[in-house]
Amino acid sequence: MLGKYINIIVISSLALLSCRPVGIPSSIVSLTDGDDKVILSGDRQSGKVWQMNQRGWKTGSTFICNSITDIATNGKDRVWVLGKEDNGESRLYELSYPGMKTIQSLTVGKGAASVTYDKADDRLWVACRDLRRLWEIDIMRWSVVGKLDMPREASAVAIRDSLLYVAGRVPETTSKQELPATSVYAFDKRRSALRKTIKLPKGSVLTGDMVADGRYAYLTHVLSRYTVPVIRPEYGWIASSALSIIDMDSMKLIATVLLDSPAKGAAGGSGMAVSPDGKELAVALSGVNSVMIIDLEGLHAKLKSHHKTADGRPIHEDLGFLYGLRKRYPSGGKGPGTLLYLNEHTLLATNLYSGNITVISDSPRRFRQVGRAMTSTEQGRGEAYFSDATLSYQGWLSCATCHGTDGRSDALTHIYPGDSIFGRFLTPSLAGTTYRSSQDGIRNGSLAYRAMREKQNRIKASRRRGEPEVLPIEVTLEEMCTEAIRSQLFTEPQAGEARALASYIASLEHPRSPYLKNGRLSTRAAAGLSVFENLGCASCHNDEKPLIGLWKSAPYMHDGRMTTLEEVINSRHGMGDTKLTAAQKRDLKEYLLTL
Amino acid sequence: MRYGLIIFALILISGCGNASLDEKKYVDAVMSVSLRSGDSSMFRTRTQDSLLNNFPVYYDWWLQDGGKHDLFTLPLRKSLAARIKKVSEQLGTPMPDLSTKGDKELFSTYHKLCEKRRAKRLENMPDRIVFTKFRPFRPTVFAATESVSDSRGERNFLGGGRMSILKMRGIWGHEQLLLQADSGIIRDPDIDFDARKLLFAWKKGAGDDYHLYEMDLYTQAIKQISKGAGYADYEGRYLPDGNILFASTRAATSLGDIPTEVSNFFVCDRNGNYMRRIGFDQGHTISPSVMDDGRVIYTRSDHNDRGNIFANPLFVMNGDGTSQQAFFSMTDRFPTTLVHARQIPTTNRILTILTGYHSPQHGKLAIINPEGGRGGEDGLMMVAPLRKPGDTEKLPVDIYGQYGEQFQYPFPIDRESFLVSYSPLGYDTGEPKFAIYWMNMEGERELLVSDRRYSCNQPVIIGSRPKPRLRASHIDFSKETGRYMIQNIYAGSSMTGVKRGSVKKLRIVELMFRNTGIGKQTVSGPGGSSQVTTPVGVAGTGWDVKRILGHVDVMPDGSAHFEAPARTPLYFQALDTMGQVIATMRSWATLQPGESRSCVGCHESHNTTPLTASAIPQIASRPIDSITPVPHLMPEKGFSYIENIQPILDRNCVRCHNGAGNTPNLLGTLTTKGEASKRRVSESYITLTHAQLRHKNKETLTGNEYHPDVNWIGSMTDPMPLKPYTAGSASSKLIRRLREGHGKLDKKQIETIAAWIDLGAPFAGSYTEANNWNSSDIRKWDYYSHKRHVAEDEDKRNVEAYVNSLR
Repeated sequence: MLGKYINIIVISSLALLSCRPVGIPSSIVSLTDGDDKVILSGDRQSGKVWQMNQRGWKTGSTFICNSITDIATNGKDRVWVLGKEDNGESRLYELSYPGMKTIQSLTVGKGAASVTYDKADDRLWVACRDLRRLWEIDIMRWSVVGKLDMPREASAVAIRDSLLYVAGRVPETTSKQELPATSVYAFDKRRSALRKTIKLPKGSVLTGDMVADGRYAYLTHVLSRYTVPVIRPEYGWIASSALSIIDMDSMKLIATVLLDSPAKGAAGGSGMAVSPDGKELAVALSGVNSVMIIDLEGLHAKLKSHHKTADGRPIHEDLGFLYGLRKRYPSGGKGPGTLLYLNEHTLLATNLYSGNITVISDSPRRFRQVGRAMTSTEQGRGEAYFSDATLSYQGWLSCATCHGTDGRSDALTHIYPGDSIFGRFLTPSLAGTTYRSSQDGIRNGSLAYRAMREKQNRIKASRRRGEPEVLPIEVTLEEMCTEAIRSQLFTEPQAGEARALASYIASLEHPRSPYLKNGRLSTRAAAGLSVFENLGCASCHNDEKPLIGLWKSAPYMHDGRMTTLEEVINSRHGMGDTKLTAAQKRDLKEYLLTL
Repeated sequence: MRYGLIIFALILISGCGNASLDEKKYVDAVMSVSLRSGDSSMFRTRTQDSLLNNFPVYYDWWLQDGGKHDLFTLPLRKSLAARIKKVSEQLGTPMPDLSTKGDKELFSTYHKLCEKRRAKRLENMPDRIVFTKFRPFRPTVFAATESVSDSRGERNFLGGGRMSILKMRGIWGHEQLLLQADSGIIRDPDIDFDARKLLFAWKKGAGDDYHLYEMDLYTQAIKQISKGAGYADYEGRYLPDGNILFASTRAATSLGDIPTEVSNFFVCDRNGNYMRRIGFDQGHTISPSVMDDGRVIYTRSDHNDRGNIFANPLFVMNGDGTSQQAFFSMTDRFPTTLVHARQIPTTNRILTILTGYHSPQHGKLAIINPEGGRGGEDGLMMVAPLRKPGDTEKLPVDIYGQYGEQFQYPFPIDRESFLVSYSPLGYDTGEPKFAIYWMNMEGERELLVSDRRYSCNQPVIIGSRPKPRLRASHIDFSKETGRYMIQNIYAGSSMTGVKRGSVKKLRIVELMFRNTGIGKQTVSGPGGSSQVTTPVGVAGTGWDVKRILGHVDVMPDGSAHFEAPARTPLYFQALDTMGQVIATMRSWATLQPGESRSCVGCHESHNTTPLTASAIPQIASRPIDSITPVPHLMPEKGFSYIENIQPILDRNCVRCHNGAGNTPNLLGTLTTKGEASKRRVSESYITLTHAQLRHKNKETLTGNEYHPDVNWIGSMTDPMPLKPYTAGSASSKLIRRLREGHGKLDKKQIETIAAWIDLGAPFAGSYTEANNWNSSDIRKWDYYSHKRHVAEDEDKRNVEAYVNSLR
């Protein structure tokens, strides 16, 4: 359908691009203005909302705040922009259309991830990842009128009548299970009650987007096999890109299917859109710079008759399930994120890292460049590489497949083949990762270990007879990135890739704990600090072994064997055998949450 | 002017510059044979042949727009009108008024329309292609296309040909000679990623051997890359890592059926240095091509404990030889044999020729999409036009696809169109003669170049293409081992119904290949009929000498992880608590040094991911296993009946079972019965395999692989996966009796006999053991043994040099 549609778009002069600020189109929506459609795209980098007509001509831009996270609209005269301010607080703005004047705004705490317009109840729902909360905002009264306590890192939201579906981005901390999975939660939004927890197949993590076509909700996520050592890199190894289909009436998971095909991964399933006629589902595959169009009628027909593969395996292990039902198009940019059907023939994709909006077809056309591409700086290139599965063998995975797009995903354990035996480890947050020295006690099999061994071999090979051995050896972040590309993505790094990745990773900061009160310790947390010091915890947990980010990084210990901080405190490791009172333990926990 | 252009063009495209190729002559020729329906079929055949030879483009238009018979059966005017109507419709132009035109004018109208259509079709035609001219290789798909100068046996060499470039000028092509081979053959052109160099194989005459050469496309300077008398190096392909991969007879082994050379894959650098073997395969591995992701797709003849006719699937591997695995039709009777596979760029689809084992390399054209399945009709569409295979097109027959039009060497241009060496009349005019065509999936075609004397073959686009991102290679040639990891042996169709925990060990068996073919046997079974040369036992008992390296542990959850020798063809047998085979691998796998290979289970679908919901495999918590040799199974050499089994019989059985009276004869006396095999076998072996003289002249001793006492999976079984416990020691009444105490054999002795049965009841533990060779046979054997040793030494030296070069 898309390939046939021809629509010539004249693009404004490229010459001006170099002096523009970097632009990251974070989301894209459209409004109806008389007979025309107006397209709005929020810019994560410049904090502007770009306004375009149907032909991609820029018709205006409005500065809102420091950075724009998401946009919603009622399609007519109201636009809501979720922004992040200088101090890290999220704020929701209401704008009028036309005019794009800010009418009012309100603060929604830290770490707000998305805003969803709820037409039936004239509400806005704002998902707050860090606070595990969904704010209910009454548009008429312009105030927060309720909150739903959410699963961990609540992100994607879909609504049907009185039901509100939310997906957790990472699993609840259930590491005691061999293979945790995140769930979708169905709430009765009018009664603020959880109706049902819909379990996704084991290994489902890092949810992307959720869209609804009326009856069904579609959710992109990673289907991980983090308990599996390197097995058959041509068949997905430790991670696949999955689509879960949920019946919104019966609140049941219909199926999970794979977007990847044999020898051709589809990493980075992110934004989605259902075509206006409901026949197609478009899925942005941000890792492989593609957009997949899935025939929904065909998919539902096949799901009715196919419940297992020919040899009895579940269909979410079948790389050929969507055979004949899918088509892949290049996205015309780097990192397609959100999608928008202008009409049945025209699908727009925002490409996060190249900063352009494209019209998807066999040969995608540029619709609009939003500022300068993020890949124009080394750190920006590094961020793009971090999510770029084209760096990997056959496009199966990128760094973000396990570490999340922000490099700080926790809660996921993985198994790593060491020299002789396998170990099970917690996926670390990459914030604060820096050079490592052979004196650090590096774990056999870890990336630093491999990079170090590689370096040692190199030094040995080049050492002349009689020259002393150089000890200790340090490996830089760049050397670790080189090793990561070779051993995790299975390819030879090309010039500049490891350096750019290192530059991006070095820029990552730990998010500040939401448990701090105005940036300070509460009285209890301060008491907890004394307990921490008196127990001598700091003798091990000094700078080398930081505990920063504990508030969000469960499960705990190197292999994720403990689920809660209480458990850690009560264990031998947590000095549980010392005679701490219940109050002291509570204070200690309070303190640890602020790190 | 128009006529002039056509005449000029036809001279150019004819490839032999015959000035008689003009429209007027063509029309005269056609008119002179029109409606001569009373003439013999010989006349028709000759006429068709002559028209296609002399007027290739015109007559091909005629054929494609109406067929090959109406020339002789219908009035010319009627045929022409129908053709003009058809082409007008295709072009979307109004049907011209034909009423006032004479026949010759109709021809002119028709040809003008065809030219317009040609211009439209050739819009995406590349500017330049390279192609070769020679007579198609005959008679069978693998048979001696190498034609080595000191060949062991079958050698088919029909010298003469050339390599040319076809340059497109508008809709017509101009042939530019690159290299002439008067009595030799030039074959297998490949273009480097930057389109500056051309790699090809050249055998300059009957006494020479194919070697790799490289031509600089700018200067046309030629550099010889490989050399060595008695070795054929061919089908060279540029790899993304800067090396060259090629098929070569340097393994110096011999086929199990036809007594001739085997070709395996080797790699070397661009100057022919560090030439080293990466394929250790029993039969041929041929027609490699590099895919978008850097993997190489190729054809592998694959028959361990199964018939050779139907098991010639497509395989893939990385360019460095790691991760060799089946790609399509590994366990299916249809398609029988797939060759000349090439990926359609940027897609998952493969364009390939379907042919038979005893057919030449040409046949039918198909597209495979592995997403849709890994064999049979699943994921397969016939081309062109694109269609599901009809009933007669999916017959699992040996000599497949030899009726009607013939295709070979497809080369995709884009998703819709491709170049192909094609013969519209196939065998109708004798041995099929091929021309190079542009074609699309619907079968629309334009003849680009043909030749009166030779077939035009192997079109390759001259153009740069993106170099695949390089896969990180973890090969370490300083090591002698690699690793295998199995996630869960119970997953997959070959272990259906096997209770978890019942597999205790894996037996690791090495296949040892023959130096040359001496003596033969006729073999037949559900997998067809063939012959075995230098047989290792009575007919039906397996293709190759086998050596039991030892056992490794399988954890209760079905996982296994072990170190195994690299550069060695190995297969695995799943053993139960009694040491009996539950299932046996009827193929083999090879590791490169330092490679880690992993699989899920036994015959898991290649379209499924590793098992998702499984727990951490139990092998994760223990050190990597190594193969534990079993001393009484003599791990240092091939499994020999004389050395392993007869001593047990001599000790425990022959006192009673000596052939006297009605007792079975278990004596070790050697006999020459079944003399065609040129191998002596013992009386006891004949008794236990229930062998009888069969076939014409009673020259072949054939074992009974279905006998309840001793049964095994025979050498000519079907390629399809077998159920667990299909045959072997677990279903042997002999083993049951022995376990019940008959003969008072100890555990090790029973295990040895069970292992013998589970290996497929071989007799010889080496190809020379108990032979019945005459002096000329021995001379032949010694010659090729020496050749093999020399080749292996050279490989060893090259590997050492390669390792040193990395230091």
